[in-house]
Amino acid sequence: MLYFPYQIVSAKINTLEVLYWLSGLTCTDENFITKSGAQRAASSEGVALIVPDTSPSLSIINEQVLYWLSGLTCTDENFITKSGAQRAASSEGVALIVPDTSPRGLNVEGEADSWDFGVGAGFYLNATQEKWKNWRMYDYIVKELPKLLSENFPQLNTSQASISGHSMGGHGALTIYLKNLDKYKSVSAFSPIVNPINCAWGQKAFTNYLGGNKADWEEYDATSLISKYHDVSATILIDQGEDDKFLHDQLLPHKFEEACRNVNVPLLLRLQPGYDHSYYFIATFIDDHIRHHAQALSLP
Amino acid sequence: METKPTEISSSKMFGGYNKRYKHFSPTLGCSMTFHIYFPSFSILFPQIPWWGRVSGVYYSRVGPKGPNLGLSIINEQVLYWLSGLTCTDENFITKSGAQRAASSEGVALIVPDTSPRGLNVEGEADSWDFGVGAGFYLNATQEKWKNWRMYDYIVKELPKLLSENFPQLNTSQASISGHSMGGHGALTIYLKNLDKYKSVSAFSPIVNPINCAWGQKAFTNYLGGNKADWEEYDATSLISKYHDVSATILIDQGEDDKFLHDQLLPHKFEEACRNVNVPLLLRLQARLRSLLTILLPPSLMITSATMLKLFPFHDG
Repeated sequence: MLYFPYQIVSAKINTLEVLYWLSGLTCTDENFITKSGAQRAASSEGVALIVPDTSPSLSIINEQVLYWLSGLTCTDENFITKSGAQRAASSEGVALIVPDTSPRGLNVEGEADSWDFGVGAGFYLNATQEKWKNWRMYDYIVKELPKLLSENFPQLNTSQASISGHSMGGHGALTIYLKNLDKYKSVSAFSPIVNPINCAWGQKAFTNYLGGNKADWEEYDATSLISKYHDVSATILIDQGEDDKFLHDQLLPHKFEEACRNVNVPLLLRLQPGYDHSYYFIATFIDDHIRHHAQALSLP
Repeated sequence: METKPTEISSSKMFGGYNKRYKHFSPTLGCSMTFHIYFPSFSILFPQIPWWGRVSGVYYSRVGPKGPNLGLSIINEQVLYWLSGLTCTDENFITKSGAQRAASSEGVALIVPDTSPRGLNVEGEADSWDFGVGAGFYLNATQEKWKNWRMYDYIVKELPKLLSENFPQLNTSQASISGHSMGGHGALTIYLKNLDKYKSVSAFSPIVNPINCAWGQKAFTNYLGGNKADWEEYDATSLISKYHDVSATILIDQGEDDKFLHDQLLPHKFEEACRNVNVPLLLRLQARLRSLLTILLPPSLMITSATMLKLFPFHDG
């Protein structure tokens, strides 16, 4: 910050005296200017004040956080390399947290047999079946990660977070959001699996992770959950490609839409003609999602 | 074998389409794949698609005679992108985010592979910086590598193939760009064909291959021992001969690039440009985390948008 006394108007070049002020711990370049009252004397003495910031980092010390949950077969890398989300995240001041999609390296028998179950296919739940007892991605996302972030990354504001995801990650984002409405300010999704109990992907995963009890399945089904947990504080944003080959058999967005209508939950479901299930689709519309969350995160 | 390209995949992005094609290349003697990004039909990129559904209610942007599809571009300007060591024709398409600006600027992106593939030349895959995935955009003179004719592929075969099969592309006006080895390719091809390309730009290019390990290894094997032959594929050498450029050369170079000092050598090219008064905009991009970086575009994706805006397509 700079303070120029009124003498600047008539001063000749290089004649105004200058005082550098260096602030202390926790200050930015604003504290001295707003609180010291130094301008009074600076003005009468004809001295300009130069008040630099106290560290080179941007004065965002409380970066809003957006969790991104990826889909089947992904790791924690795909979204970072392919989505281009960093552009809008940077201009909106939102930090992106991108976890992996399942535990790895445990060598559970059969864990890598299919691309839609086991490794890379954690489904963001806590498995109840003994064989898959390590598959607790729900607790990892909801409990462990936020704690780890708040303990190790003071620049992140983990008390305010939003959540988003693609496909299986969209299912994760929606179900986690609905069961933790106090923890997340908004949710959005790309081509989410909104009704896993009624599609092959979900039935395969739930049978193996959760066993045969359908009531347990509903705990991880957004279309079922919305009738119980519908006190949302922000519109749910979903983008769905119309040329998505999984649309009619696995994703079933109209079921979620109907369920939202039944309990008056504000849903913005945008069907995008010509778009498929790929990261090209995500990259095209990710800016809207980032802005949707930035807006929700900025509200008290 | 089919020299006509066949489409093997298509995916919509930013209103346009990433399409991948396969064809047999007579120049290279093998099958090759390449990508074309076709920008969107509308000149203005529609953030909202022309029709859709919002909370159960359908909407469309309707003109007096039905939905307005916008103007169709029948003469899409063309930008060739040449990728670097180890890349295929996919990396730029999946990672760069270039389609955003390409769509809004109405520029088609042509993204070829980086070398012939599948020829099984002995040793072709031994190193990541030579042979497969490392064609160096030259015409090899050494018998063993005689199929390595990426220069002719880019300058002669591809433009002809595009003009014969994609009438919506304006192949008579093209620009060229690339990264690293592809930056070397873009610069050298541009300088030797100033009548064919309207502008060039590059990210972290290998501007002086005769003076760096990558270039020396490639040229020794592809071109043999005659240093005079090497200069034909060295941008820093070529600029003194071919300097009648019609547009500023734009180069972005990361300062934290681990190859900067030993392989890339941008200052040599800068000096050579100065000697012949060639307009060069060399931007060294620091990884500062200060208030100033809000004003500077630090990322590849932001600068690629700037690059596309700088191409003087509208000057005629």
